[in-house]
Amino acid sequence: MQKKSNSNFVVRAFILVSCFLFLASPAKADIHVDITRGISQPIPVAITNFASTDSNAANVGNEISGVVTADLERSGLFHQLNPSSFIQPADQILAQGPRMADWKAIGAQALVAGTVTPGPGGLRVEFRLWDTLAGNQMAGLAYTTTEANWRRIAHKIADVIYNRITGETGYFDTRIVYIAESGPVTRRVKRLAIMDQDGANHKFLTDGSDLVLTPRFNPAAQEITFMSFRNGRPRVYLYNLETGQQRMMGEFPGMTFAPRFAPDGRSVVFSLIRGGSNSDIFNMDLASRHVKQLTNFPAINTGGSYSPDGRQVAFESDRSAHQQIYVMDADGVNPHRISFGDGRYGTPVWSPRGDLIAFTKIQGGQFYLGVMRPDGSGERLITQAWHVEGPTWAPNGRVLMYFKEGPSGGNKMYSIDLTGMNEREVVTPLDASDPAWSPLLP
Amino acid sequence: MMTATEDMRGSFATSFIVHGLIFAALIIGLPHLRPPPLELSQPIAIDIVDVGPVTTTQVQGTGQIAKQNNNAPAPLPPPPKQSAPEPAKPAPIKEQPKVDERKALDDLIGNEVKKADKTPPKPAAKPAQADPQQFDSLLKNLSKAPDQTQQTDAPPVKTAGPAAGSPGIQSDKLTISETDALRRQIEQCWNVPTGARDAGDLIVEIHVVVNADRTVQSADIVNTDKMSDPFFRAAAESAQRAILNPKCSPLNLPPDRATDWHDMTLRFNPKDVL
Repeated sequence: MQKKSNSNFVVRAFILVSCFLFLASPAKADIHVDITRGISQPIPVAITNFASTDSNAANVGNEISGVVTADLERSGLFHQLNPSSFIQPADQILAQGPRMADWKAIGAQALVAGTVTPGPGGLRVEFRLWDTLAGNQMAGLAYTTTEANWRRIAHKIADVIYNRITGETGYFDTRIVYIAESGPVTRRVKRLAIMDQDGANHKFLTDGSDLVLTPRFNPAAQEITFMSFRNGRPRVYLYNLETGQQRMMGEFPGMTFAPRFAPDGRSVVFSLIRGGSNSDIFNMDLASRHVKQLTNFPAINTGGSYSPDGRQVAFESDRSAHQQIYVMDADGVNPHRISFGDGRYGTPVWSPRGDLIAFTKIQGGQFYLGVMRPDGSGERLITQAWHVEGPTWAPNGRVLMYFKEGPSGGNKMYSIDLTGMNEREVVTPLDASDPAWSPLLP
Repeated sequence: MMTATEDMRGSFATSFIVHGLIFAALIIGLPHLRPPPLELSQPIAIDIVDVGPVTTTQVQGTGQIAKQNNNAPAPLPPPPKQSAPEPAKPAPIKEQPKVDERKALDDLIGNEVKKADKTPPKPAAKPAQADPQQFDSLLKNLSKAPDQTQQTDAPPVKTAGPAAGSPGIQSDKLTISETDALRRQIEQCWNVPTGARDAGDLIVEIHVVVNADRTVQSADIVNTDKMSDPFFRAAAESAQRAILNPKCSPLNLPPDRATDWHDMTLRFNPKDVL
């Protein structure tokens, strides 16, 4: 009995010693390192020609990979590696799987490969995206369409790649409506024109007999609003791009201008001059034609732009002597100024992402394009010119398009990433102004 | 009843255990109460040489760049309008029709364009102040760097300058200089998701297991619960790519202490450069 008691004591003591030894031993500490800085440069990608056993389909495949490459490179976030450096043949990638070591060896961080297969219903375009460093597939989709649609398929593929790698919705399958300008300054011809966001499929929508201004897209449909001096009368019109149907917004006792759709496309905010030189902002429900006045202040109040949730409207006003940007609730109450920097602010355009408001600014004899948060903080000026005007957001709220004018004229359109690091000219056949970026095509 | 022998055995066991405890504490506990002499001296020597230039000199350097910019005679070109013999048409900032159309409209409705709209832009009063912190940012801001080039055919590669006062979490297994060397290496491979919404909040932790030859065996995203958010997933994958990038292999780690850095956690926080 006593022996058992002693052995229990020894066991308990052993456990105590073990616990002591465990507590006394150092815990295995991981190394923790904070990485707080980095670089900003295009991601090197390898986009191979989309392969096909059919020669015609192979040509389409080459065209598709060319458009995908151009879209991604123009975004400034991707850099296509030289195809002559590719080690694995394109037609082997989907059949045998990518040899990641070959792609890592040339510096590719992502790989795009695809095939084009002709069929009774048109073409079947299949593509896959791989992360070559992690060694896994990131996306894989197949589209069936008519051959004539190959450009849109290419834009859709570029959108998927852009979305998968950046997390942001793509913007390549979109169109731009703008004002094409030609002729001498005294007899300037201005026509509505439309093109894909990369400049392809350009065509004129009006013949230039009427002066047209300020086209704006319906965020929810392929419809625009614009201002036209038809029969010498300035009025705001709606234009359905699918049907070609045009209709006037309404007859008002003054001049209507600066129209812009609400996010749901069911109403339009516009400005109206009614006597004197002051203007106020109104909203019109397009179905009921009911008009509601949103501002009522003896000053120029114009340039209304809805927040993407439709709850607020940004606008410009000189009620404090100089042009500044204000934000009010959608019913017109609680207007408050958000711009407080030096210079004059105008043309507020709320980002579809909701986090920023683009604006133009005159300061120190220069025009700037900038962005600020809806509360007015975080102002950044991202480009500058003798005259820069007409900002419009890509539907993902990541890229802006606008036009610049030099002292001798010659309007040209540009696009810029909201970081301000990737400004590029948007090439058009004629001088160009007032761009309007469409939502993603259905 | 306990015999004398049994009593001696109990005392012996108690004595053995107590001495064992003291001995174990001496053997195992005391060495960790103070670091070994090598660990103590190494960071002091390296900190003075390496950490100083990295965290101080370059910050001064960016400040010097900013100062030079401030001294530039004409950071803003004079507006072309001022050299014109007569006031050129003002480019109205409003989203109203441009002046030529405004005149046409005014003729139609008998209005006059507000004088404020016709006021030609004033000359540049003073060059904008360049902020040294601007050079740390991966986001362009012309109001702080007035001499930026306007158009680029290819997007510029911009490396953020050192973020003063952000030394990061230190480890007791790596010296400050060793941690700095690793951090500097990874920063050259990390493509920051600059344009994402609320990019400054996209903080990613990657657990890295390193082979003895300092190549990466695995790099796993720690906060996987956020991967359903496409922005976080993109940020996490960009951090993962930084570690797996062949340009950052092998890792800048002391080759002779593989057991110290076999596994580590890297925390990617872009807030300082956005």
